[in-house]
Amino acid sequence: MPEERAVAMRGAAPAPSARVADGEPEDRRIEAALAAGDAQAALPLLMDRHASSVYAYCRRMLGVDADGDDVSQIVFMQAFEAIRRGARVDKVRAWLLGIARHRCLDRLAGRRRGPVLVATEDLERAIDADAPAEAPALDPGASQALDECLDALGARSRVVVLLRFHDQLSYEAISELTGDRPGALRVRVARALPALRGCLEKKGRAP
Amino acid sequence: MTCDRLEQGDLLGHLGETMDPHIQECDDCQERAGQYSRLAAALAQDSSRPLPDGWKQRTLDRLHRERAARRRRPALAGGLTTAVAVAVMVVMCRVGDRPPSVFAARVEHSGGAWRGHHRAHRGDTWHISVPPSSADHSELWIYLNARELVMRCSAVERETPDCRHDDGAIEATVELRSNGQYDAFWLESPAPLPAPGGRLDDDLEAARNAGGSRPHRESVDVN
Repeated sequence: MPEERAVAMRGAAPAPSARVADGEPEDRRIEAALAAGDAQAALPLLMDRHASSVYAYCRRMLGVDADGDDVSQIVFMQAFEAIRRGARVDKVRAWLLGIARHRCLDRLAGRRRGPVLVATEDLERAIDADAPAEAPALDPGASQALDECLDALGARSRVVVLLRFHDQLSYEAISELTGDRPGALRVRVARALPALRGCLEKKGRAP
Repeated sequence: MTCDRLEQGDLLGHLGETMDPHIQECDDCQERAGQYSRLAAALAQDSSRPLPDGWKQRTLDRLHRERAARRRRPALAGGLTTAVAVAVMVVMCRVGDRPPSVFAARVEHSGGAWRGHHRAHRGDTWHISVPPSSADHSELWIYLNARELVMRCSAVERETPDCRHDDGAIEATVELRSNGQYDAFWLESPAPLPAPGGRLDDDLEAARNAGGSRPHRESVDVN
């Protein structure tokens, strides 16, 4: 693989330590607002810091711009209500992405109107434990290519791939969310990855 | 590169579990395995995508609308409840043998003979009105023959021409395109309701398990 492609796929974003350092004052303000249960103060700060990640996550999961826009709005509205009701939040980004995951699965289940039921949870319950740690973003070109290739997958395959590799959930955990058997999920992922790799190669973005 | 063996047998093994010994010894397979490792790493990273124009302001506006609607709900609920009660009394007078509901549904006939509030022709339109709820979550689910979800309409989801909401009240319109029984259920819950899958009994059970109250129901037979 040419080295420049590998670099592009690995991402040209700043090192994680630099990102954390840049975000520290903002994170401290968010933590203070959350600790005070001040939803009015917390919401704009949360949006400034995390909205693009949440929107990108929703857009990638749902594969449609308008749905990503709508569901990411709902995520922050529900976060606001949860903070107002005194939700305890330890890891903000993980908490928001946890809400986003459930709302995206809701939207997909509603869109599909199929037999899969998605269990939703009380938002006050901490979702911190099952969301991934923050990772640096891909460079925009690589990210766009990956988005396009994910869009080309069927919705069910796309969601399982993202739950497995982005959210780093086990197949058993995904099974609880989607109602599909773990074995079927593994097969779906095993079929989707070669399709993704082939799609990226065609776009000159081989992993 | 010729390593199909990886994709046919042990791709997931390479990504974290047992590994076919051949793959560890084969250069082609090793290169492809490296590609999949990098793909997995790329999928683990955040996507970078700018927010749509006006996203933040639209979110804040939407939140303010929702909160204002919730504050006005008690007063509105009183007025709407009275209006709905009057409508229900009218329905009871006209139909006589149906139990009253606390939400309202009416058939708009497309030209055929009037067949009553709970019978319709194909092509007629069904209008359902749900008053503002004191619960945190209020949704309208409409089914055909108990096994097809025709509509899910809530007070916070995006509006469509057939699913509108204002100040917490929901107004839905259904074109009655098929023969059979259409059922509308109004569900209220303190927690988010699970997405309905389309099988009525399963969906109502899931809603109950999520803390939903006993749903209110309206029906219309189409033939």
